[in-house]
Amino acid sequence: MQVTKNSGTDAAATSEPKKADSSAIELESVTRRFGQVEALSCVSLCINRGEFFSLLGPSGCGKTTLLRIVAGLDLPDEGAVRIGGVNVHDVPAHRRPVNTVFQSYALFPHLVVFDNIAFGLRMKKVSSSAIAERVKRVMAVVEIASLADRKPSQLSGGQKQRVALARAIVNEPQVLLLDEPLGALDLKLRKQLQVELHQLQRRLGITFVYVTHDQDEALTMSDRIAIMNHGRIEQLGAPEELYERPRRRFVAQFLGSCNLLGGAVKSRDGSVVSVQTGVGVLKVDLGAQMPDAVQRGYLALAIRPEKVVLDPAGAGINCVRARIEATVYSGAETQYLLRCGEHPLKACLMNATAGRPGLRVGQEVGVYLPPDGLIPLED
Amino acid sequence: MRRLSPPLWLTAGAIYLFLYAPVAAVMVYSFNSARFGAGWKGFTTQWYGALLENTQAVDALKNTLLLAILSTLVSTALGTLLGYGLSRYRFPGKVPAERFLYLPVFIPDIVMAVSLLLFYSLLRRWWEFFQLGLSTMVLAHVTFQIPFVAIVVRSRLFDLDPAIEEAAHDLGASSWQTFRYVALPMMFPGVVAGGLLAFTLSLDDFVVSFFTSGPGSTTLPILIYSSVKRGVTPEINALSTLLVLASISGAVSVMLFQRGRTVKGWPA
Repeated sequence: MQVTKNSGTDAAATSEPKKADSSAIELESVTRRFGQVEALSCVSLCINRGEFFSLLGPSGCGKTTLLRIVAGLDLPDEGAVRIGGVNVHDVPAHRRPVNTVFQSYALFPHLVVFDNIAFGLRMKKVSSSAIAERVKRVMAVVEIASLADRKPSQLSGGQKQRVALARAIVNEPQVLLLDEPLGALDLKLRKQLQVELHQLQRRLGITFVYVTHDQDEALTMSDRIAIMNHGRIEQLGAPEELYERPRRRFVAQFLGSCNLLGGAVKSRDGSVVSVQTGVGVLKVDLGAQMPDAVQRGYLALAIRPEKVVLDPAGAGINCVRARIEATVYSGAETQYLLRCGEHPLKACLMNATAGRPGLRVGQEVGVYLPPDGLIPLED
Repeated sequence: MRRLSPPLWLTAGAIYLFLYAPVAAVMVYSFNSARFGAGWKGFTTQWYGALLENTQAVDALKNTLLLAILSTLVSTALGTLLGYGLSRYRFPGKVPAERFLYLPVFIPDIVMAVSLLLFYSLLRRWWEFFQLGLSTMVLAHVTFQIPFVAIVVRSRLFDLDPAIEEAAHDLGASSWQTFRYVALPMMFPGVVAGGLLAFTLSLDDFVVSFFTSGPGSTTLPILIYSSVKRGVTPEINALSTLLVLASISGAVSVMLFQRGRTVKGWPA
């Protein structure tokens, strides 16, 4: 078949959907100010189609503002937002192909559950027979089929959450935005709904953008996480990557617990660097990466408590002596709070691999900080 | 709960007596068969019957109701929009607009009445519409009713999570659809309460009505005033009683409506 020559405008038009294939949402240098405060500072971000993406950070870090800007409920002062490759700067919230699950659920108090869920379809003038069928189907999916005639005031927290979810996904949005949707629920229900939400996302294949301040939630559910602080993205990556290889102090401390050690670089031998830290000289293999700080003669290191090895008789490279100050037993594991000179250290051991003789409070032990467990930080 | 000591109890009793005895007297005397004087000559409902045949009174009643209904409809619509706009939108000059909302509530009626009279007579030079009569009265009543409606509606909106309207927006509703299908139904109890309040205010307004009325637009309060100048008749007592009952039923409806919304489970 003969292919006719494309004009310039056609070529431009076809390049747009190509971009849309991979990315559901793109933010380019988005800045949002509230008075003097920058809630978002030049944030750029690309969220892939079909992924479960989390925005994780402490309250006030700008994650909800970012979500509202994508939804169109707030407008950026600078920068561009693209949804499915289309710049949505001039598209009002009610015409964007995204739906939101609000933190407070924001159900319509004057409408019964069925009408709450049908609201979006009614606004789109879907026929009433199609509405009845789609609402029924989505109510079955989130397991609230028996609640159709209830008012929101007659629902429990968990039920409200399901209605809010159903009300959003019934519209089959390109992207579902979730603003701390499980924040108001008790722990047990939260755990259960985490699993359900994750499975639902896999089943529907809709891109989820999930805002949370709960690190466990983000770690267990997400394909990728952006960790935010003070209106910036500190680090973006898969959960394992963020946990195992945090690049910055904030990320290391915010995600899980860690020991921070740092000090002057004493010597360098290829990629192996010796650092004079508060607990003694530690050797670390930096491999291919070489933080700028090394050039300035300083290196900060982090090590996860579960990577710390306690060995009563230990001695040698990266091995220091410390005193056990306290132990905290929490079922599956035990935490040891140690003090090495003036420097506190935390170690965490699984109780299943117990049988370590004589780790008692007040005792001196050898602490081995394995080089591959030491994470070099950029700041 | 502490017990009220006898002196306090007596004071309270006296206050209530001062408040309600005059109204009670008017109501009782409307059933007195004596045409003149304070002596009780037996029970009768003849004065209520006489009212129906008194064309002046019937006309005044018609005017009063027409004025109250028209002004309430207009002021409720405008006051609702004002209350909604003030609580849900950002716009330049919002703060002064909020401050000035309360001003007509505090301005003495007489000042309001005189200024409206002057204003209308000024406008009358160009527009025939401002000839004093029912049209100027409706306009004047709408003027003092709007802030009351707006304040009641706004306090209702204050209790409602703004995220609910954002959710409507997010689900594809335009600003108008959000107002029509979400905001209005949610604030409807406030709208009705504001409307009933406006209706009651119009019903028993004398000062503003008196200044802005023209020939043929006499309302019940004006009729009562002009009749009393020739002496209190039992018919006036009957008329006053009816007016009191109308006002009370208006106020009670407001209370019932506001209570009803919590009983029906409208969440905060």
